[in-house]
Amino acid sequence: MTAAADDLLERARAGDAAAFSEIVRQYQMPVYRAALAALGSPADAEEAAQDAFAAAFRRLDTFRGESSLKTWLVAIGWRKALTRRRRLRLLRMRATPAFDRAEGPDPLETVADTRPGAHAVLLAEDLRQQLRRLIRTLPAKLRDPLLLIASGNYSYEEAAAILRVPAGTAKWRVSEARRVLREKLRSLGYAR
Amino acid sequence: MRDDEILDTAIDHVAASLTDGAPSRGFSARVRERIGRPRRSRAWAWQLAGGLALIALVAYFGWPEQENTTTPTVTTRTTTPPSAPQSPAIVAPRGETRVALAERQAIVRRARAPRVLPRIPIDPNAPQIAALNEVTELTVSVARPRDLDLLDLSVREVVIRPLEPGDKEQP
Repeated sequence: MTAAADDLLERARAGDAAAFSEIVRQYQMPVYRAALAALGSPADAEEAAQDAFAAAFRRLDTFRGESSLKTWLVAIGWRKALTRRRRLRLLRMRATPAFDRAEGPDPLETVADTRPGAHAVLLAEDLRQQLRRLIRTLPAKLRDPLLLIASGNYSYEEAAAILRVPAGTAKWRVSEARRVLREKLRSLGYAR
Repeated sequence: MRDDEILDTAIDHVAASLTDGAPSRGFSARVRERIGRPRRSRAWAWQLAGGLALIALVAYFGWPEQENTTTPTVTTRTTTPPSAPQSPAIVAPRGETRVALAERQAIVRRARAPRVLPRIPIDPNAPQIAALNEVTELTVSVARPRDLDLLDLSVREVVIRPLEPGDKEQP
């Protein structure tokens, strides 16, 4: 960590609310996006991210710098999101993760027939929607690392620290997720 | 580009789009507000868990007996090993406490012990015994008490047999 980041952390540990607000401002995006990767719903992701920062504020003393502050905060956010996801599943408030519902407009409505390349655009949009659907059907064990890495361009080591699995396991799960998705796309005729 | 690469690119693109977004405005202020909010007490959860645990214990072990018994339970248990044979004849009369039943079981067990048997009179001149040179064992079956009041055991029959391979001599 840089000297400025260290100073910020020390001030936040000492109870300086402004310093912690600055930490929130700096890291709210990755924490939120990781929560979104786990939950799929912007509203739920925001709740989980707020929970994460509140918990982090109370546990600042336990941060020993073994990982970066960002990884530490994202890991807390990830845990909070998983807890929330479990609770939501238990309550059966949602049958499927909410990100699957954000399908966007029907491609047929957005593509004008007279436009050049309409067919290609339609095909790309169709592929995108199929992929969203297929990612939704992946088991959480494969889907989580795939989306987490996509949410912040994390390295496998960082993702492993957040997921609390060995780096090799994180790497294998992402690779397996891609393989499963490729096979399903092939079976749908998207590639040979 | 190979098919795999094209598909992987599409996968990464869609995965990134699924996690694309930003928290709404005022996020930081809401975090500050949340930090300032007193934490929800979880005392009720612990109380509920304790209550459920107590109910489970009572359901499993039963409610502790409230009757006054003069004999401590520990004493009774020492006189009645768990492996003691349970005769179907030994049935506690209605309303009797467990302690009293255990005491009676202990008495019956002692009464059935083999060491009461050597007092059986045997006539060495009896023709059966004279015919057997090496009588080493007497198997005696006694009347089982059909009722707890029949503790004065009576001998019903005596079986005499010669020593057989595998028998052990008793002192």
